[in-house]
Amino acid sequence: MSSSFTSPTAAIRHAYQNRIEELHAEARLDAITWNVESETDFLAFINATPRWRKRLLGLVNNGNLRVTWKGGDGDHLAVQFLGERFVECVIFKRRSGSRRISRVAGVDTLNDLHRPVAAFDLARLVYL
Amino acid sequence: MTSEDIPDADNVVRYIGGSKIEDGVVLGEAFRLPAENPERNSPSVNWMDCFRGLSKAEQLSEVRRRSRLTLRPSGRLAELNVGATREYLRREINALRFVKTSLDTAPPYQADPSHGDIVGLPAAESPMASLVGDMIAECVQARHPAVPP
Repeated sequence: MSSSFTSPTAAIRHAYQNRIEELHAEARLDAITWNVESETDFLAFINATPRWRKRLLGLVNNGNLRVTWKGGDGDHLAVQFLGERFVECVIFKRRSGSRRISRVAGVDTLNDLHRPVAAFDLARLVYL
Repeated sequence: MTSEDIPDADNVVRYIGGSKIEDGVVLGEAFRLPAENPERNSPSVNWMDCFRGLSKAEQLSEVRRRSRLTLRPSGRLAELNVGATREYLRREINALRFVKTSLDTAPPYQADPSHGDIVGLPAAESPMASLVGDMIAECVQARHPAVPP
């Protein structure tokens, strides 16, 4: 991450903006219709909650942005921005003392995204 | 028509566009039903071991040569072992299959005996499809350049 940024959150925003530009170019090449509402919600999300770590940003074939955090211990959170302030979450969580991984997926509102993070103890994975 | 399964011991590759890979990590978005084209109801793969007797580099070269996709430098060929992937997914989805769907010659394209499909995936626009896609992405065992350097 560049040291020219005054804060980690400024560097994160810059990295996401660069990635979004790349994704726009890929979408044009793949004839994927970009969902502007998805981008709007994603930008609102990173502006409202700047302490989320920068992780992997991809484009679903339906034109939605989707961000994925992955931990070395098998923990995983992926959030697809559906537009209209709805998100689809996929969570993998290895329970302590167990080899089993819980896997869940569902739709929530953007404002309530912090709830599954708390419920599945994913704070270390996603927050700075 | 019942398609023949690709053997569990064999490997396949799937072309992953640059919008579905970042920092070398293949994302689950790459393994979903193609929502933009309901007629095309299964993600395609290439069965590497179709080209028996060739080295892996030669198999990949054959896959690239016969591909009908526009392979770009930002993309990758993600390699999966069929049996390991099916076993990993078994708890969530029992019907996952990798099947042979070879393509006949169709000028300007030559025949592609390695062409296959992933079938049995959940409906494209569903949380379960996203979960399964993420699980398949975890099974990627190698990434190869889509366009040789």
